[in-house]
Amino acid sequence: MSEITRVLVVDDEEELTSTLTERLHFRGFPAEGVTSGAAALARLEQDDFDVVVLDVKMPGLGGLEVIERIKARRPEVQVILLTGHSSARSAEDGLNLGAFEYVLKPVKIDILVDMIQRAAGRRRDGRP
Amino acid sequence: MSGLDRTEDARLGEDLEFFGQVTASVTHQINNVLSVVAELNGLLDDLARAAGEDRPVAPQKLADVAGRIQRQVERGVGYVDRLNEFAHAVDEPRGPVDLTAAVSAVEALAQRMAVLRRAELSCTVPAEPVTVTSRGFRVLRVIYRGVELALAGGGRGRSVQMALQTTPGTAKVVIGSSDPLDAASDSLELQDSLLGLAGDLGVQADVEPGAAAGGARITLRWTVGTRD
Repeated sequence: MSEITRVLVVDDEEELTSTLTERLHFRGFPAEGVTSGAAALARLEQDDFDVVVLDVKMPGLGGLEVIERIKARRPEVQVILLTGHSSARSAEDGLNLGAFEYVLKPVKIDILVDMIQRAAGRRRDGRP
Repeated sequence: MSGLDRTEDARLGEDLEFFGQVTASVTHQINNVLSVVAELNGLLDDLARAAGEDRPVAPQKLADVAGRIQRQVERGVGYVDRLNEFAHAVDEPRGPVDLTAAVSAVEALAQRMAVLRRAELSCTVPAEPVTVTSRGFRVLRVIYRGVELALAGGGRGRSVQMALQTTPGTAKVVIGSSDPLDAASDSLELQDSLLGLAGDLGVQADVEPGAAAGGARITLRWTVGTRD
């Protein structure tokens, strides 16, 4: 990759967030992780991220509400949803709210990286 | 109809629905653990590749990842043990039921439901067993239904506390919510269901819906030392 893609990982499972962030670092992404929707929105106010990798089902502010708020304030930021099989329908709703794509857990890192790169390309092209 | 009377047939249908609801919830939690283990395994793979590419990996880092995997395995074993105990409760005939264990079990089994309803769920139980004579699976079901009722409707940040209290001859499970019950039809249906389940078991159930100034309170009262 010739351009830096900043990634924010959001999942209430702290270990999952931490590990996924580490694995993205290995692959050259300056990634950060937070464990709630509210923390994600606060972080997006402070800094620019190209792609948000976001769990659909979280306590407090859920993934779908977070997408709505991101797209309202920062439509250029691309969102990839993480979902379990039982939440696949919510993920489809997320696509209707503007999410780029969704990926099922457990995540295959190569698939996620490919999605992140394509999402980053969409951002660079100026498409919401 | 196969010879079962309609009421018992309906009860068995409700038992099955409860069994499915809890199983779906706990297996989701187990899947979360497996997702984390898969990621940690992937991280080990990344570290192995880095070492193979002449990028040194500190032994402490490997030990750290191994420790993290172990903690997730222990967490997963906990979920599986809970689900196994729950599944075996179906086998148990009418007999001694430990309400201390039952309340603790429901608190664990209902945690995900509480999280999804954006509420906090906790319980307080005595250190010693509190034994009643009943049917274990349906005791779990009636307490779970009480928690479900307390969690229905309401706003975010609600807290629900379960407490097992005893007085001579009586044991009661009190489920208190920081919010009143809402008047939506779902809550009314849950309330009717709870009263029906309690009646089947010979348990006295009282539902105080609460008001704007105070939360709801659901009480399930067993007479200790007699059969239902």
